[in-house]
Amino acid sequence: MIEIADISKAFEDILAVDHVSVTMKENTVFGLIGTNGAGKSTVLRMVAGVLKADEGTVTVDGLPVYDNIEAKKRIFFIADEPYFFANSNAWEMERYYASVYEGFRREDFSSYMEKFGLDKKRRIATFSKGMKKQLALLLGICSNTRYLLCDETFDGLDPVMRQGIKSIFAKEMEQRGLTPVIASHNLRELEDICDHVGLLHKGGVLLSKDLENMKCSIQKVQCVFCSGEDKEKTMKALHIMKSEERGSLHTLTVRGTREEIIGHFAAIGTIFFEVLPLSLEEIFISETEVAGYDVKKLILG
Amino acid sequence: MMSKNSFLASIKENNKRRTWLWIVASLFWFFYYPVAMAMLMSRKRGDNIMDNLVGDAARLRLVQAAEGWLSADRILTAVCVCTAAVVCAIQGFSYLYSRKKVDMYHSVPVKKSRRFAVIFVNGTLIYLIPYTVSLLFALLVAGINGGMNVRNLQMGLTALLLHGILFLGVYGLTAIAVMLTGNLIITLFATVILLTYEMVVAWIPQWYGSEFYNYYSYYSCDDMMFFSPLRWFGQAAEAAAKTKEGIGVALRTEWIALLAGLLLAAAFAGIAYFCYRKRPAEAAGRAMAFAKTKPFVKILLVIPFALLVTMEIRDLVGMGNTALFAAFGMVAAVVLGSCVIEVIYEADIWAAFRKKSQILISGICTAAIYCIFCFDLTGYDAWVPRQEELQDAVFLFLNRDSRLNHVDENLVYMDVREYALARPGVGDTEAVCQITAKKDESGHREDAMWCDVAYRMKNGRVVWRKIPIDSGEVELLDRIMGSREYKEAAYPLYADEAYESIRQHKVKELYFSNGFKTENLAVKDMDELRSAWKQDMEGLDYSTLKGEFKTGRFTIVLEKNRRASLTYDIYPSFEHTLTFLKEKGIRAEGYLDVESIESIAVTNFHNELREAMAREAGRPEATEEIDWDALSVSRTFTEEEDIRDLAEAIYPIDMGVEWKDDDVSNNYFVTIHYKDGETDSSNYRGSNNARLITEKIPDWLEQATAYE
Repeated sequence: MIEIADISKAFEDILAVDHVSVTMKENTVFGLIGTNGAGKSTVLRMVAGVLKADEGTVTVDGLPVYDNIEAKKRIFFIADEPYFFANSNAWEMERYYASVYEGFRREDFSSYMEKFGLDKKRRIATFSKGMKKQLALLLGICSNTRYLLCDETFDGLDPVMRQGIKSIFAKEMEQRGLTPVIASHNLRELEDICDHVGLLHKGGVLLSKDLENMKCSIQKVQCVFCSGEDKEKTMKALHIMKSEERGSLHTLTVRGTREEIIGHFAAIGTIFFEVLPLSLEEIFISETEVAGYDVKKLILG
Repeated sequence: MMSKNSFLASIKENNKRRTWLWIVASLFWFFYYPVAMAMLMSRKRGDNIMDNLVGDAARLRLVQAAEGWLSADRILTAVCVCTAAVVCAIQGFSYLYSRKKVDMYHSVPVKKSRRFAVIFVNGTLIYLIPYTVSLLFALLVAGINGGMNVRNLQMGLTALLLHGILFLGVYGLTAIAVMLTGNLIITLFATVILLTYEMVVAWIPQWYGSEFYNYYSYYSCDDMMFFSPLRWFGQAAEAAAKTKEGIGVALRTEWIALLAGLLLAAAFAGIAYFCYRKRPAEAAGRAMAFAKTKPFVKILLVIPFALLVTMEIRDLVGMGNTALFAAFGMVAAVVLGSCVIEVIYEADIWAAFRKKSQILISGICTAAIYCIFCFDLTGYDAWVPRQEELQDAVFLFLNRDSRLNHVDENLVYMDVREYALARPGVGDTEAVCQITAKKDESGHREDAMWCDVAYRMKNGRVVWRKIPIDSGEVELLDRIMGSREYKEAAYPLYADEAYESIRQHKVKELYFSNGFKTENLAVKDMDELRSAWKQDMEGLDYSTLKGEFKTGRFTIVLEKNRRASLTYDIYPSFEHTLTFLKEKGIRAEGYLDVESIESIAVTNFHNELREAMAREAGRPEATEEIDWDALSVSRTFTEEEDIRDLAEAIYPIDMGVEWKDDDVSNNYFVTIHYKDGETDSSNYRGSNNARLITEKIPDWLEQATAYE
């Protein structure tokens, strides 16, 4: 488990991370989302032990990570712009990582490289941006660390490759309990891959929640009430997060389980009601609007 | 088998990313040592053929050429070593400039101490291995060509040792510069500053002292370059190069310098490591890695910069309104220096005036230091020793005693100051205080003699002043210069223990010269000569030096160090010495044998005309515009009577006029032509040029060389 406890980090006069506390559990995919400058990279660099927090602590499986190689043995960090040695090829990078990560799986690396159609002998400088990201991910996966920190790593990957990486993640999570931590500025990129999401904004955490819980605890209902009285009853009885009205058709975002909501609407007078699926984007919009933020501006551009 | 986590495995892994540096270093030293040595040997062999040199003489030329190339004090090699150190350090740690690289290297499970050690050791190996291999090849090449001997082997090993220490010092210092900064350009600046800062800071008080104080002695500021690897290297290399023994002497006599160089290198490496551990990863790309150091660095750079600019402007203004321009220069330098540094720090032109308090602090400090010197707030000039507090004093008449050589027990030349300070000074404190008290009065006299004096106080303090002494203070000067302590410090051969030390080493040659002619003496007679000379020296004082022209001098050449020779003057009052020389068949009376002279050429420079013309022009500097050749009149005299008259007045130029400058005319230059056709008595054995003793100039000469 990665435990970030009340960390702050300032770069001279600029406060990049402001008292952030997040817990990243094993065997889940943690998504760290936020706009550019929200502090995602800084948080990941602190988790990777590259930066030292000005305040607070970062522990990996209970070990403080900064300047601690025992903690770092459990982490592989893929920066937003991964660095490869000048004029090197994948084989040379593999050799280097195999020399610093004791458990590096060279055979698996070769096999993955082949599957992804990457040539180990080709100079990395000639790779496309997406190919470099694939290579960084494969190196990270094969280093056999428990935690894989990916900073904007999925940006620029085509859907096929994303699917490929997702399936490797699933396999690795199942086989050895890999815990990927993925930072991105784009919510849509994380929607289909994350189990837990932390939203960073202006150096602070707006929310950190389990995606399944979030999906289960918020429902979107479209309905036409029989009367104004029914509508009033519903508004009073339920925790309405958002309400839109188009003629007599109401679209409500409501907190509660699916069963509770269906039970409620079945009991009152409605001409029509339907519980609709909520996208991650909509959940976020609803959650953050409650907190007083316009999340569309923050993460959807 | 090498474990993949071993230090050697890490070195090997690191080397993969430094291959190009290995190649460059190997190629450079290969061309610098064996290839250059082969070319040098080839050239010298060609010279030997051209000059028809064979045997030992031909070999000596090759050996000397090889020695010159291998010598540790060769400046070009030292520059190359320093450059190699800077390149190796920057290349090794340059990953710290890049965020991408820092993210990668600092996130992998490698201990910081391991990473630092690997890079640091590897950088050293990149220098050491190609250098050593190339040096050995160079020795081999010299050997094959006949340019090797034991001394050259020692020189090569000395160079290896001393250059190694120099490399480590500069390498460590550059590593510190890398740790303190965040990009290449600033690192290069920082390296230059770290290498030169101490020297500049030590130089400022010297410059200011000499400008503002009347009695400033350059010895007031001791050699303060303790933290410069260049200083310790230079000191050891100079000593090693001067002797035959090379590394032996370097280790024996300069072990403090070697140890200091090594300790300094170790300290620099330690500081670099400390900074490496503390260096924040976010420093990559910034000007300064540690934000807290910024104001201190800025102020410490701006103050000396402003002081130098202020003084430079003051010098440029000369006799004009110096106070106004100095103030302007100071303000401009402080503001400009502070702003430029702030702009570099922030990489933002608009940041120039952001830290006004730092500009103010720099300005106040600069002005305070300037005022201390300008208004002599420390009372430097007013200081005079109190007799009851004074233990003794060392007098150095550097412009008059400059011909005297001082050597240590290993026959390595010593700084005269160092030599004198190691011995008792003049204990006649009454005379010392009296002569010092008259400094203001003597300072107004044109014929004042300037003397560096080290006042050694009873509390152990040594105070240096350069004071003027009235040349008419015969009684006081006789007491000082006639004292045993003064003579032991000024004339090493006079002191018994120094002579004993010289005797321990083999004397190669002993000869007498009267400035024109050189006569060899038997080495076995050295004790007798020294004994006679010492007896005569008991009577030597200021009156002797001021009143008598030298008769000649004798020189002792020492076997152990072919460059060490000691020369001492003989005066007409030195009866015992002159008797000894006479017994050995050496004629010491009169400089010339008139019978052997064919002609004497005299050039009258007509200085009086030159000065008159300058006076007429109303500008002293107008003398530079006057055509010397047009005013100079040369005549050659061949008549025996004329030659006899001139010979009476002739004083050999080789003898020097240290204490008798006023008594020898600057107006005439004399060249003697001998009957045997020699125009020059030989390269190292004397000259045929002379000047004329003013009071003995024949009356007819002025007319004979009159300007028409």
